[in-house]
Amino acid sequence: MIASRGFALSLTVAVLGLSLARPALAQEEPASAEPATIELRLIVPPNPDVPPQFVATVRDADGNAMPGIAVEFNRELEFLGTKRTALLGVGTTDVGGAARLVVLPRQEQATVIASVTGSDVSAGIEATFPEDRVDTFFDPEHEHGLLTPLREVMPPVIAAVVALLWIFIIGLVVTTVRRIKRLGHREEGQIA
Amino acid sequence: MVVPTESRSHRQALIDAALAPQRHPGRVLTTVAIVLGIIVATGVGAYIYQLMSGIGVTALNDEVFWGIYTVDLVAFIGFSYGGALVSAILRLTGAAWRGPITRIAEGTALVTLAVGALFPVIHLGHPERVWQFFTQPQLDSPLLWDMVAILTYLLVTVFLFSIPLIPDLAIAETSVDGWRKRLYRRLSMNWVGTPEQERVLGRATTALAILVIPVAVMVHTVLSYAFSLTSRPGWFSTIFGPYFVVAAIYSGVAVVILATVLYRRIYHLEAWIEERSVRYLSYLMIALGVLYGYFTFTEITTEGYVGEESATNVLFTILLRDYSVAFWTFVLLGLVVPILLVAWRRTRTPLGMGVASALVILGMFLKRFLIVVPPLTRPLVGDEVGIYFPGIVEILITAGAAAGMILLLIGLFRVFPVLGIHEMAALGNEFEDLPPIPDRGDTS
Repeated sequence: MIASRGFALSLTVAVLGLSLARPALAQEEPASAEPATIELRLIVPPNPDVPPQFVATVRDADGNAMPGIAVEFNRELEFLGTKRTALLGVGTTDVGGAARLVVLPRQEQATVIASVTGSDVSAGIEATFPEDRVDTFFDPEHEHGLLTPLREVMPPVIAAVVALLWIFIIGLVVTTVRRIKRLGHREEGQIA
Repeated sequence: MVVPTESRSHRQALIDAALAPQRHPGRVLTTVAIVLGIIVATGVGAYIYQLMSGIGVTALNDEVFWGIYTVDLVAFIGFSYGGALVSAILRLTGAAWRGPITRIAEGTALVTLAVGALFPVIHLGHPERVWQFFTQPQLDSPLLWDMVAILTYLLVTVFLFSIPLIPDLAIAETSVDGWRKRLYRRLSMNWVGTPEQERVLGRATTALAILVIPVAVMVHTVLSYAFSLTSRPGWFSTIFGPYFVVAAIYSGVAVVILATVLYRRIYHLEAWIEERSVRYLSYLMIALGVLYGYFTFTEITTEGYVGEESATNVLFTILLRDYSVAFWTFVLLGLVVPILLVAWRRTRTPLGMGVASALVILGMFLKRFLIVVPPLTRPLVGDEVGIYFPGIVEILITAGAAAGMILLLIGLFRVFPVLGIHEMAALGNEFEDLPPIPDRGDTS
């Protein structure tokens, strides 16, 4: 469930990020120097109608901002116990060396990594979004509905019932086999 | 041919009949077994190829992500259900004609389930991660509960086969030799047929028979949840639970009939497996066929009556367009012809009933294909229509699994008695000298 939401987030932000960030991109020539550092920040505007965005600033070894650099934004996910990265989107740095990615968060926490495409330069942050900015899938009318507690309660209840059933079946068979074997021995002794 | 004669005791003739499949197979049977073995080996090879190359070697695609492997899963587990249910219901109701049938029914239930349960793993792109299903279970996933239900059913089926086998192994122990004798002695659990042992065995068998019915119903309804809990037109249907259960019993009873007819014919067991046992099973099969036809009619009419666009689209695809040939073939060969074959007195022979059963098995396999594939070809978003026909790898694996089931059944009854000797003796009063008390002087 978490993983699928993560992928939903990836898709949403990828589309939004590319479309919203495009006007901000400068038509700059790629810099000749090599990127040396990247700094990643999360900006949450005070206006709730403006979505949060990740800003990755790329600089060269002298600390100069580098325009025209492609930056990939990835989210780290855990899927079935395995660490995965999901591409959120790609942005290009502007004259200030900043690439931006606008997001509509589905969860409060996310580990995001920005990396310069084709190099080892990367930086990650543990982003925490304010609760009122997180867009959950739940309809508030139904979130606290009659069946919601069942969603939490039923799986463990069913698991317990299944476990009891298994114990009963295996117990029945083991007991049966042992009793048949024991009764056979006793009869054998009596006959002898 | 093994028949009761005056020169041999009736009891020994029954034991010989039950052990008939263990005799040296003739040239024809050996050839059949070799051909089946080659098909199984080809299927295993195809799976290894899929494992090394990835799931991309199948014809599955972005639109049709479930294909013949899902069909195999539903169909094979359905076959199993009929065997278990026939055995359980006939035991619980004390039907006297069940004697020669229960062992074959339980055997078919076991082998079809054992093979069918492999398909969720075969369908995985990364089967090496299947253990994570258990180490990191997602408790709110229907797929997890599907696996739990299948494993529970497998457990009950194994025990339902093996517990009634205990007295038969003790009885037949003196009639076999070599490794079979050692195996029979070990597995017969010191059975001597005392009233206490009979009582314990009877109680356990009854408990398992009671258990297997709801468990099998659960398996098939949970299996149907994998479809009906989605919002996909053609799958999102409240009738799917009972629809799957009836389909399973219908096709499962057909498998039991076919296996019984074949064993009866090949090993000349006509004296022990009466024609009326096969006939009664066939009556059950056609009753279920009529019920399944009614459910199919109900599903089509309710969806058609409501007329929701996407559901109607799938309905037209099945009834009149791309899949219409398959659907009407199913109606004709899977429903109408088998019912007529059993209904008409002249074709109500073991051969006719065997042919009817074979048609039901094929027809129901086709029907499962029609349940799984056509709804997926109609996308939920966009207009791009999906196309699917099983690829060569999928066909080889499916053929290998089908051949494997037959081979497993042959193997099972090469090891264990094909008839329930003790049960037949208990049901027929003529075998008053059963069960025997084997000599256990050397057991410690």
